[in-house]
Amino acid sequence: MLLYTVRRIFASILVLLASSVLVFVLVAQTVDPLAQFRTRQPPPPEEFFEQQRQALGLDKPILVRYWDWLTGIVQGDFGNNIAGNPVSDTIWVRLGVTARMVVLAMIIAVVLAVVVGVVTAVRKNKPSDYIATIISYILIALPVFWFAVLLKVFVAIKVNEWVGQTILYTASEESPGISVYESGWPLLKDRLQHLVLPTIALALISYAAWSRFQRASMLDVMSSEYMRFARAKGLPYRKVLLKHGLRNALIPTTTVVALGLGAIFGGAVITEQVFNWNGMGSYLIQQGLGQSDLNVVLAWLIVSSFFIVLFNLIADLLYAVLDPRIRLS
Amino acid sequence: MKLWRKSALIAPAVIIAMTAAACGGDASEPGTGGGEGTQQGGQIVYGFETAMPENLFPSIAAGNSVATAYAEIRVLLSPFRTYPDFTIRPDTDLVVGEPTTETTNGKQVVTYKVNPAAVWSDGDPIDAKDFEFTWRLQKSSDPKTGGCPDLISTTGYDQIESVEGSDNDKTVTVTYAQPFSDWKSLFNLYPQHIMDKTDPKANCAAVVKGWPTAEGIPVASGPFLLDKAGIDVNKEILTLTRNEKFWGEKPKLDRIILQGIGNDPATTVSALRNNEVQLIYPQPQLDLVKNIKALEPTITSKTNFGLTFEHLDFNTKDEQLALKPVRQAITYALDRADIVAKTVGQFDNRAQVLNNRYFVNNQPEYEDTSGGLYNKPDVAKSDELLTGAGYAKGADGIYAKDGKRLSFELMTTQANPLRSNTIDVIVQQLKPAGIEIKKFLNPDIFAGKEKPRSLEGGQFQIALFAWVSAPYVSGNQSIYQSPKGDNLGQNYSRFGNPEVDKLFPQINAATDQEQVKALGNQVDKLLWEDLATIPLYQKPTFIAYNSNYTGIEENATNAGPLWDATKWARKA
Amino acid sequence: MATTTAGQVTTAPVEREFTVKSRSQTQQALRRFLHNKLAVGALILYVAILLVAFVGPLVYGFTYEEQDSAALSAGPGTLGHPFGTDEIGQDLLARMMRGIQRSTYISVLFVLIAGTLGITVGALAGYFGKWVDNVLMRFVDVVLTIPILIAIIVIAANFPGARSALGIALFIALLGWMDLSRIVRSTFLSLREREYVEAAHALGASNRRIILKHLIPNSLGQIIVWCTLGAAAAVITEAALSYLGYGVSGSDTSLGSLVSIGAQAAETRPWLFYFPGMALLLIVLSINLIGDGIRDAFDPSANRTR
Repeated sequence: MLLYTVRRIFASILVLLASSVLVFVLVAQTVDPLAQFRTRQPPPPEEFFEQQRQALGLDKPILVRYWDWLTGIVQGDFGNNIAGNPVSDTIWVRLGVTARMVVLAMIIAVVLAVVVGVVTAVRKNKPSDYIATIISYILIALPVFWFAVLLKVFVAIKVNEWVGQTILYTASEESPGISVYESGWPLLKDRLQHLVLPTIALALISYAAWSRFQRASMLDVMSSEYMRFARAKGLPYRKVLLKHGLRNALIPTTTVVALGLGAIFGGAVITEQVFNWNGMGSYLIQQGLGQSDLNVVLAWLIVSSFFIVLFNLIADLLYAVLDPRIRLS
Repeated sequence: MKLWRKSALIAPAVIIAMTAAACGGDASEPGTGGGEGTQQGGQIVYGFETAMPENLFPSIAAGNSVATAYAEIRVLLSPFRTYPDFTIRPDTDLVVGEPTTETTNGKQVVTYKVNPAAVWSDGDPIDAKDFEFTWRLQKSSDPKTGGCPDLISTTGYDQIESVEGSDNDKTVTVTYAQPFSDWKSLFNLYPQHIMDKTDPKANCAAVVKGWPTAEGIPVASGPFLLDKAGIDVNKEILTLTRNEKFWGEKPKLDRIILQGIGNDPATTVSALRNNEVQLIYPQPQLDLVKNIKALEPTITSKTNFGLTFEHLDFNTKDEQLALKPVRQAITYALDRADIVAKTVGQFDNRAQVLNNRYFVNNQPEYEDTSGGLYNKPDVAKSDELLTGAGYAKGADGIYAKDGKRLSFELMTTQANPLRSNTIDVIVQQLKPAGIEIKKFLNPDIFAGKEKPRSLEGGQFQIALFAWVSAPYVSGNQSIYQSPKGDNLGQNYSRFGNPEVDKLFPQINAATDQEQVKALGNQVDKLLWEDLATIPLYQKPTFIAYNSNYTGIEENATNAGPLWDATKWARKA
Repeated sequence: MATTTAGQVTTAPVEREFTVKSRSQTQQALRRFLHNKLAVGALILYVAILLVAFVGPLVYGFTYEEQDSAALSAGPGTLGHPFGTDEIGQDLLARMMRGIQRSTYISVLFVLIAGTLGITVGALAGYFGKWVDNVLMRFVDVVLTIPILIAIIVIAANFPGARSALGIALFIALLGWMDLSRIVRSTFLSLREREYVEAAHALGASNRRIILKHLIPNSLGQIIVWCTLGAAAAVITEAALSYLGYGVSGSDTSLGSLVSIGAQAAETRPWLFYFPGMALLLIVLSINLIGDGIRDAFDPSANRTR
């Protein structure tokens, strides 16, 4: 297992490295950090751009630029944004905000998907199975921003009107300025109130596909030889199901969840736009792409790549723990 | 206008104010005087839609944003304030009496008397030294003469010969080498005692650095502070707090929180409805306005018409648009009243067609200089002009000459439903006139030359965007002046008229408003004859706030919603 | 693809021996598909939507560009507009028919481009194995470390002039073929060891012939399933791009842009929100159901699981 782990970690680092090349090539050629100066009136002289290019190192060959960038990142330096402030000052704060939503949404989605997947597999072709199936199919087909509007109109506003005060918030990750004058429980409570709707939106969209998957693998396992064998031995059904069945049915789900992280990042970007969160999504869309801020876009992509690779690695290792045969191959 | 270029293009406009009379529908006792029925203290959250500023120093590009302009209007004072009725009056907090101007021997001499009580928020007196420093900092962008190339504009300051103090530095005498009509726009004061390093190079370095947003503004001359403690860049928060050292009327609210909430109308509405923000000042859109109107009386709202106007720019470097009959035919075929009805007219029935590029409909200087030629669509006239120019309708119903069809791409900004709709309407109007229009939402419209399809780049045919028609007219020169070689200024139509050019020196030197009015309208009349640009409509503005607040007054100029925030208060 | 649905179609190669037999298998699959009531219902619904969208404009009274000045923001059923109008008097039903046409165009293009890419790469990797497989699949691994939706946005943001329907389809396709290549590869890997492939080899058949005549037909089921799910995912991705402001730019419309514009009007002019949204939902839902139906039909062993 140790050898396997080391091998997988080594492979992951290689993938990440290759990914950083790809990211750099994709972005460095298309995003122009000097765009901000070009909208000035009167336009600055060409010498000014020369000087800026030199100052930012844009005049160097792309390989040198890549190397400078990479060595910076390894030391936690993502370069400066177009206003001249370090990207690393901002990106971790933004990541923290997004992580609140993504982590919670993933936990909810996984738990819900496993429970619903197992229940519907066991109660296959019963009404509850059909209802859950229809709901998942609808959720899979919904654009997240459309769904979010429904949540705002039919959940948030109705709940708030019914209670008579604002308990579910629809914009931003916390009340404006609250961290300036509040701390402790009131701040935490406020953040939780802001967290509810975006998390529901993101969790339900992810849950739908996963629950289908969990149901399928559960059914596979239930019809397998060893399950029949275990039952034939006279073990109680419920025990067989949970002890042997679920364990094996979880293996493929683990992979799907880990590989779904990229899609969740994409979904989180949209969810953040809909609920106006100041997280990674708005950092990419407004600051990065909106202002042609090269280092912001690069930092964003490499951070997300890092997490995706990390999750793939975790999935591989988990897989190996759950299914020892993997290690041998 | 130069200073406002960025905002002129992208920014939301500002609103004409009507005093928000404290209406007495509440449970509170109707007050006998104006100041009653309000509470001291509390806060308001203003949800702003523009991006968080990169820098707070307004004289450099990074700090030249709508957000800084709005936020700092009562943090750093100027000798003059622009009022909601578009008049420009002295700021009596800063200066005593009306500053005087005299022109003798071709030189203009302006005298300010600084309020003896005026001090910076650290206690240092505000005086001639600050005027002199403000001038010295911005008088040149040429490093060879001690200037600073990062300055966004030196207009006006570059004409000043000297700034002198007398009477214990409380009287300031400014001498212009030649008269400058917009002299009232100058002297947004910077603190000499904090910033001045005497050496021009060191001062320029300080300008380049500016005031990074996270660090706040070091000192204030107005009733509000914008200091480090109240700023959170990542959460897009700027907090205005009371300047306890302020000698004039102090703010009633403890703090005004500016929170970036983005420009998604649905988010804006729900944030206001949920009381997450109490004031918004967004670009009006049909659904947004309707949604907010439905929230009355909890929410008070008002549409109005500001200084921003939408217009079409024809690129006269285009082979076909270079022909005046083609531009004229397009103008004749347009039904601008219908455009207004299908766009801005839907949320305010006072919207009307704009027939002037220098002044907007609700300015006293406004005149319809078009000669009434283009008020009704006239397809017959358009046909006549095109046929006269040698065009004939093809089988597809589109005019063509020598195999070149009258098919144009009309570009505008992204994510602006009003503009997108305007183009859709134009497409349909020009179709029966045998002219084809294709819509292009170009995110790079305001980019530089490196993007060929931008206004600067010049590979466009027709563009739809907005200008701010300021109470100060000198900025218009760069828009309508003949291009000098590659230097367009902001004349994206790339059309020049020597007759118009001759009038600019006159208008810039005009210190009398009647003269400004006459000259401005004279220029505009000439512009109508050239038809390189067509004004469409004045852009409405929209303010909405929670009815628990009072004293909130709009301002249609670029002063913004916070222009008189001292008076804002919670109702008792 | 941007959704995880397409990613599920990875395993379970089918037990088959000869291509001759596969024809009858296709027939069996068709028969099984026709017995799946849900899938057939979805197919009928989808065909009906397409019929309305493509044939409807020929008989409908309004074009998608026409502006009815007498009916600005008219509600559904009023002034002769069954689905109402928008603020400049354009008929919503006419625009939706146009939008569905354009979105269908985008998804079909996507499937063609990404399908070709994915099958080619997957086939090469799976058939030749060894270093070819290694290079291609490691490349896919690396590309998949970037969130696909984000990669599309980054590209779309920097080529504003290319954001026609064709351009959008290209952008999505450029990054959307990877999961298909993995699917094709894994079926090829298991198929190429089969006796009939070895027999073909022994008879001197060329690699090309073996791939085209034996292997691809035998992975057809999986490919078709991917195509349907991919088409649905392309529609949703296009909508997401529109919402973020990187969708089709120009005079044209698409279902995605109608839905994202309508998102603003949910409370004031609900018809602009619900009709396009429901249309999008029904289209994606029916395509997904058809895809699952095909999967079950080709893979009867999976029938019990779906």
